[in-house]
Amino acid sequence: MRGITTSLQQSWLARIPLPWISVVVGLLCGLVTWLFLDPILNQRLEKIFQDNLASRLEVRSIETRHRFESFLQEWSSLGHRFAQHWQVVDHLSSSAWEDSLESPIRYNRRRPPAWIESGQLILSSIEPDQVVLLDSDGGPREIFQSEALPFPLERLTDFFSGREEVVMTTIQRKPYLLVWSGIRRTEGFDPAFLMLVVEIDDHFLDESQQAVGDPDTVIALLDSENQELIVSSNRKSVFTTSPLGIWKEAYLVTSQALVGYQGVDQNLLFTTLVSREATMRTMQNILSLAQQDRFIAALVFMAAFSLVFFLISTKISHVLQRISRFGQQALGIEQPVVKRGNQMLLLESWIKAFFRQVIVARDKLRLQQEERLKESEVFKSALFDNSMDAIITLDEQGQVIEVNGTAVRAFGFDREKLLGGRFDEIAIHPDYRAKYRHMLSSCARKSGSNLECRAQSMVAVTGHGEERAIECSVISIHLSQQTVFNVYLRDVTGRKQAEREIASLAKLASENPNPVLRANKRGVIVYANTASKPLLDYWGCERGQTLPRYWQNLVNRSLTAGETEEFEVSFDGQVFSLQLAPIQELDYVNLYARDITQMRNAEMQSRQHQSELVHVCRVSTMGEMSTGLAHELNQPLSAIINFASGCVRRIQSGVGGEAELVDAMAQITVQAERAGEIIKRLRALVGKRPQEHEVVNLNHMVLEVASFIEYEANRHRVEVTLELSKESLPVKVDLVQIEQVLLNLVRNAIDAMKVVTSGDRKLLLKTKRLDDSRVEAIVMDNGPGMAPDTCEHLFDAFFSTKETGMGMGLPISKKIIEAHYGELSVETSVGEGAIFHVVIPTDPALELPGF
Amino acid sequence: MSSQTTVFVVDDDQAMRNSLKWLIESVAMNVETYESADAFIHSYYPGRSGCLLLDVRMPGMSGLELQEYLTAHQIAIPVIIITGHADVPMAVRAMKSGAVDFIEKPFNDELLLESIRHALMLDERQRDMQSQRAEIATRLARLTPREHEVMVMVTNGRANKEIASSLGVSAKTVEAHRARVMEKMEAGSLAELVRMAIHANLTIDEETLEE
Repeated sequence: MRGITTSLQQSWLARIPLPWISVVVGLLCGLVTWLFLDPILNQRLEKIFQDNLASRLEVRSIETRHRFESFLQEWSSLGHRFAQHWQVVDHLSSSAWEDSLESPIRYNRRRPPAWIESGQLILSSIEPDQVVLLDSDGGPREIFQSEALPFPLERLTDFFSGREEVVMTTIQRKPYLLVWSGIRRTEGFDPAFLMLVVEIDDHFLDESQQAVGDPDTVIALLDSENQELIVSSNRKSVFTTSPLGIWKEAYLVTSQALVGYQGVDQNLLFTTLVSREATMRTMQNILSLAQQDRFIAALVFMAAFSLVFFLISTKISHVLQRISRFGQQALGIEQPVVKRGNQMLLLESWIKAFFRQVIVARDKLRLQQEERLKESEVFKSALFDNSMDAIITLDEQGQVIEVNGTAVRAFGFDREKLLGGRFDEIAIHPDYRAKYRHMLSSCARKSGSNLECRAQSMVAVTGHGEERAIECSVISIHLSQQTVFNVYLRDVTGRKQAEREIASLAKLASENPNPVLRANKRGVIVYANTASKPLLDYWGCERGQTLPRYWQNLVNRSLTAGETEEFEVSFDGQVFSLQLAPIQELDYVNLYARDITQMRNAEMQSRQHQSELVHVCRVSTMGEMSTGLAHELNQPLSAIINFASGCVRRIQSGVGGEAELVDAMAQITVQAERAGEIIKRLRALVGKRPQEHEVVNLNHMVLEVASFIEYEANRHRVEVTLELSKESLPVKVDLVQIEQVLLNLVRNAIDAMKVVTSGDRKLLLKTKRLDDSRVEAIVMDNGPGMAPDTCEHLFDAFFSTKETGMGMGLPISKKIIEAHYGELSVETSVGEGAIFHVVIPTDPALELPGF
Repeated sequence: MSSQTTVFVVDDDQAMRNSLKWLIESVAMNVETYESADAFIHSYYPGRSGCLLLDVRMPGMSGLELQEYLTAHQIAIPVIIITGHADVPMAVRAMKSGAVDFIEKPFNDELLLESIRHALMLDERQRDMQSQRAEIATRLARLTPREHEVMVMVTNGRANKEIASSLGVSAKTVEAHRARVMEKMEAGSLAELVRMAIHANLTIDEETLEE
């Protein structure tokens, strides 16, 4: 999503709404088309115009010539008509005409001839300059002169060919029109001719066009020899007698020959001049008009299209907005649906992002699916592998396809061996194969009832060849291609065993040699085993009867408190320990009794024995004590001797005073008394005790010693290990003395181990038979050991390595053992600990007193 | 016996202290008693002559330990050990540390007194020797180096001629040196000079001189 936002921010285009873009695009397209097409159209129009103009010019020049020629024709007819006029004819018939004259008769305006009526000879307001009547020889007889000619008339009559004709000619660079017409006379008279002379000037030319010519067209006559314009219809714009060359720029010039109206030596061309400016102007007008039209058309077109675009894009924009909003809502994807801006681009980028997300989502989904598939696979395979039952999958032929872990573990089947093999031949006991096959086939047919395929008891042969009671179930699984079977084997050996055990457990209580009873909360004995008889006898009740009142209360109390309580009952010299164990959820109290008579007796014996031991302990510490006492006794004795000697010397030398001597004597008495006290204490300490030899088990003594020092050993964190000989080791000894020796050795060992790190202190007590006549007890520690020179003096009196010791323990111990004809020895070296060997003679004949 | 000579008794048992004091005073000797080794160390100073009677078994510092302490501090007072239960290792240890005698309780008064007398005599001799050595040392200090050399050679038994040749001087000069040595050492005879030299450990010096 961040990607989209960024690209949107970058693209300003995306901010402009789509309709506006379409309008702008429409306008731009129109403009470009316009700029491209306009000059082309203009050019084409111009070309058409030029072509048109050329043809039109031709047409026009021909038209003007035709008009000019018809004008000339009119003059010809005018002459002809006049020649036939009755007045003229009459005039010629008159005698006057017959009378030839030397010189022609001249008439003028003030004196017009009779044969002419005024206004008769006018064509388009033009009058001929001269009207001449010619005789048959061509000689002029009568001349009517409205305008005088600048040259003699004879020059004109020279052109007369003797027949009717119209001729144009130039005289003195002025063009003239000459018209000859025959005058019809009565028969017998010489023919006569009428000649009209008209100057061709601008007026004539103008009139020739009969006011049809347009003002931009000028007609003129061109002297082709000199290439000079002789006369023009518009002398203001086109001057006469000017060379043609100068007009070619301003005018389009067309020259034509006037066939049939020209003299022999004359070469006049009829020329039409059309103003170039006028045509150009026309063309420009036309072009600009066409351009305007096109522009308007284009404008309208553009506006219409842009509007259509605008409307369509607005609609599209709405639709896109809806689509993206829908996408957002439907997919729940947060994305920037911008209300304003280019919906197309937004949608595009959104769609890109959407597809990206779709791809990501697809990948994620696929991963998840794979993960799930994997998990489910793992889960299923775990289920499959760790099922309580062995599961064997078979194909239709009964061959093994798959085996689960339980089959391998519990039945010891070799997976490799099973796969592809026939399961019944490998794993089913021969006696049950038929049953198994029947089961399989009925399951395959689906005809057998469900029960036939469920939990059938059989015997399987494990991979190790053992036979196991099993329950076998089969289900068929119909796959698209084939049918497979799952065979479930449940080992019921354990269950059967358990069933047997439960059955035997039920007998446990009744077989228990100790009394076991159960009472309900009312104190009724609901169960009592055989061994409970003495108790029941004592209580005077039987099974199903109520306990004595006192015990009823105890049962109730135990049940209410929910706590196990213990009591002792003694009767008839027997002692029972009775435990009341409440089972609250069942409202029962179990009574477990134990005959502890022997234990109590043993304890009493032990206590007795212990007191003896304590006593001897004192006796044998006498060893150490005696050293102390000896020293203590030495003190007063030495003092006595000193005082006495001092007195003797004083008396001998006669130095001492009496008082002084008496005082010293008193001191002697005090010291003697002190010695006496010490001896009294010594006597009090050592009771008299005769040595008593009895047959005892050496193991028993060691055990006893071990239990004696248990507390001390624990206190010093010494780990005591016992390695006692399995056979009993009977010796005939003074039990107390030997135990004292052992005790002494063990205590020494514990003391020695004080320097060893707490936790590493190990003490081993061991007994064994050396041979027929000797047994041995060993006390072994892992203390610091002793150097050889220390070892040498170990059994010397008053030798001690301990600060508080008097060095009497080991010498006395040695004395005791030697008194038993045994040996006490040590093997040790520095850092190796010490091993004390107590060897005591035994006799194969010795027998331990029965316990 | 000088009046300053004292028998110091250290024993934790009061009866023992009193009885010993009683006995020893009976032969007119000066006695001081201490109830512990510490008490003795605190009041004793090396200048005092006499001997020390020590009980082995005492609370605090034992007799043997006190003896070792004295040896370690070069206090040369003769020590007599008294013990209630003597054994060989203890006796060896005591004798090694320089005990004069090792007496077991109870003891004969004659034996003890004899031992004390012997110890005091040793003490006196020791002190004599010490003062003599100090006297000889002061006299030796008066000698010039040459005279010192001559004395060493003379006391080593060398003849005057020998001395003269080894020192590279005339016999007469040696003669003169020798006379001055006799004078400065206040020796009446050659034997006396030799004794002094032995006291002062001068004999070995000659070899170093020759080197």
